[in-house]
Amino acid sequence: MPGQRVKPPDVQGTADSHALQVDGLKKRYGKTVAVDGVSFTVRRGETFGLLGPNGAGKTTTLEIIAGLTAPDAGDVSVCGISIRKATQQAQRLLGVVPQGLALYEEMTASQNLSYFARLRGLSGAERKRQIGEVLELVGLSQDARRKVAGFSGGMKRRLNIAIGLLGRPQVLLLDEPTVGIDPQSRRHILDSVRRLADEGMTILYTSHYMEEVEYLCQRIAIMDRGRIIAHGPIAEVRALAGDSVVLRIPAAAGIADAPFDLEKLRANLNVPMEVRADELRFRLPHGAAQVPSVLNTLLEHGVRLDGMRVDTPNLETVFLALTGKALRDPGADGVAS
Amino acid sequence: MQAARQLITIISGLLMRLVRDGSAIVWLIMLPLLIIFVLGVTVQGLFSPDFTPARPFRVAITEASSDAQQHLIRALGSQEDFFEIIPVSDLDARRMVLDREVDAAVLVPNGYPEEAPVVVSEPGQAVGSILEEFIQTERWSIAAVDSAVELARMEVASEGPNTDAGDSPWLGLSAFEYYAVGLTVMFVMFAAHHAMVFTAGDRESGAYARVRAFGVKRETYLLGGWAAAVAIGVAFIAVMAGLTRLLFGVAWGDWLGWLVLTAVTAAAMASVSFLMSSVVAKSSTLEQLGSTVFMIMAMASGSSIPLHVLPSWLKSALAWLPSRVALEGYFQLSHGAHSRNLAPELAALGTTSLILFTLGWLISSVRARGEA
Ligand SMILES: Nc1ncnc2c1ncn2[C@@H]1O[C@H](COP(=O)(O)OP(=O)(O)OP(=O)(O)O)[C@@H](O)[C@H]1O
Ligand SMILES: [Mg+2]
Repeated sequence: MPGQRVKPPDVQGTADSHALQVDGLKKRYGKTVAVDGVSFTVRRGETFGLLGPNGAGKTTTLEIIAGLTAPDAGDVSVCGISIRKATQQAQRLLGVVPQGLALYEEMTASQNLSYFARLRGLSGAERKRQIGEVLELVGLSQDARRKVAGFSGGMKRRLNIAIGLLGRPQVLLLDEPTVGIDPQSRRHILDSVRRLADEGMTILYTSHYMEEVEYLCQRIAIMDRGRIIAHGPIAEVRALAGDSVVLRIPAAAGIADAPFDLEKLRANLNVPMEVRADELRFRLPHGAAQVPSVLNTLLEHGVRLDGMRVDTPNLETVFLALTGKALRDPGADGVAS
Repeated sequence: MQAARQLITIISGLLMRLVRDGSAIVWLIMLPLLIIFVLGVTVQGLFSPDFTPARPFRVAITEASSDAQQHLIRALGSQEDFFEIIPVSDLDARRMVLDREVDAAVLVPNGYPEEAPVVVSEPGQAVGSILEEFIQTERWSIAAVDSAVELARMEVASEGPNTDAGDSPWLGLSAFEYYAVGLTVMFVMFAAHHAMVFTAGDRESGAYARVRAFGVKRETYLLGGWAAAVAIGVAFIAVMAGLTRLLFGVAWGDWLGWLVLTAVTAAAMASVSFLMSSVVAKSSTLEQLGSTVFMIMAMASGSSIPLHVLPSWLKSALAWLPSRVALEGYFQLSHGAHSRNLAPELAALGTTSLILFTLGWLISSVRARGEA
């Protein structure tokens, strides 16, 4: 029925180079303010990271962008199309990979893909072709006819992504796509996402893993309690923590029994010192170049050097500096950097 | 067009998930068959002819003048478990049967006991044959006193719409026939509920979000879930009817009546489930709630405990339960009723479906206010 076909949105024609323009989103659930005035933009072809601890409002933000949740205020434009005014038209440009495993365990991988492809409006040869493509991309071609119930966690995650790629979206929204999987699968997923980015897809990548975002993204936004607390190119955001390098000197026997005068040491140092139960921390505002002079001072005061560690700034320290709390719950799963 | 295609995809997707869930299928089909078999063999004794009906039959009897006539009325009236006697005029009696104010009418001629009374009842109703048996026994006892010779020509005439009451005793069902219907009505609730549990799970897994992100409207998905529950219900009853006929020789009666009754039964059960799913969001809770509610409904409406052993006040108090209405509808079909005889059951189940579905729809809509 050619007369009924919806005209494809004029994607290239729009003047602005933003694939996503998120503008003043607010959403509250009862007393919880899930999203509190979130704005950012994602450029065409860019991989943009949205980072934040549990409950920061990442998923809610993504749901609003995907046209699934109505915001209390604000709007999102997807390649120039308002998600609030033309929901279905905008949705056609989006691929969504939810945080949960949005799969049917009873069905095979290709049955899952076929089901969602039908809903997306793909039919016949086109459906078959795209299913083949996405299976290939996530490396599940060999397992297409197997029941999802028998898949490993990593394979399920990969299929979860494959479904989001049906319909060749312009913008892919990935909500923590690597939660709870083994390192190989994670590597596979990160590489697939990179490949998609290299092919020109715009990606919004949500995570609470710093190293993933640092590996994939050019620009990031850090969210906490519904707000964006830092936003920009990775290097700039990182600089928010100061260039400070942290020098850490462990004290094997414990600081309390140390054979040196802590107060005298503090007075003679030209950098701040933090005394922990089992180590001394020095914040070096001018970077690693200050390490030798600090070490000299320590030796002069009779501090025994059992070793040392220099922490360069990363997003973890940025988050710590901005909010005073750790980005990831201690003991949470994941690969430590 | 697009929405219709999506609706079909959603319905067939849910059906496929159930069909491919091997353990669910085994549980849904094998378990009731096993129970029907066990009960069919063990409690056959409960279904012997001298059982009382679910409630006393309401019987209109023409006012009598002679002693013999009054004796018959008293005799009928003394069978409290079977008959509730309503004295009426000759003209009223037939009308009351047609208007379903009573289950049957007995027209006692002035020539009674030589002349046989006329029993008027709807076809397929057990009450007709029970009355005839009772009256015949009554006349026999009189005749035995009067003249044994007369006995031979005493025939019970029956007329009016009552053409095929059959010679079955009360309800006249074997335990197999009873439980084939009972367990099917019980398990069709569990079967239909699967679809709603699937949709609740979809909301948790993000599959629902994904479906919506692919441009499917909330209403389409909601309707799809309900329609899938109905389809599963119909398919389940069909499978059970086929298998019980094959394995236990159970006859399900007029096929058209069966089809219509099956459709409204499945719709009613799907709607019960649909309403629950609008209130309870969590899939595991919904599943447990369904199991509990359906188990109680099944017990209360005669699926497991035969209706005629339930106390009569309970029987009448629970007559509105959709599972009970469905059960009685199928029993009537077993007795030879046709679709037109099932009008009250069909209307009751249809109305129930409509009300529960609408209620569920409204609740879902209110709860989905934050959704885009
Ligand atoms: N449907 C909802 N009803 C009520 N509260 C909600 C709902 N969705 C989210 N919230 C609340 O909003 C806040 C933000 O949640 P959200 O899921 O967006 O965070 P998140 O950054 O994705 O967290 P996570 O890293 O754990 O996935 C949380 O406090 C959450 O409890
Ligand atoms: Mg989340």
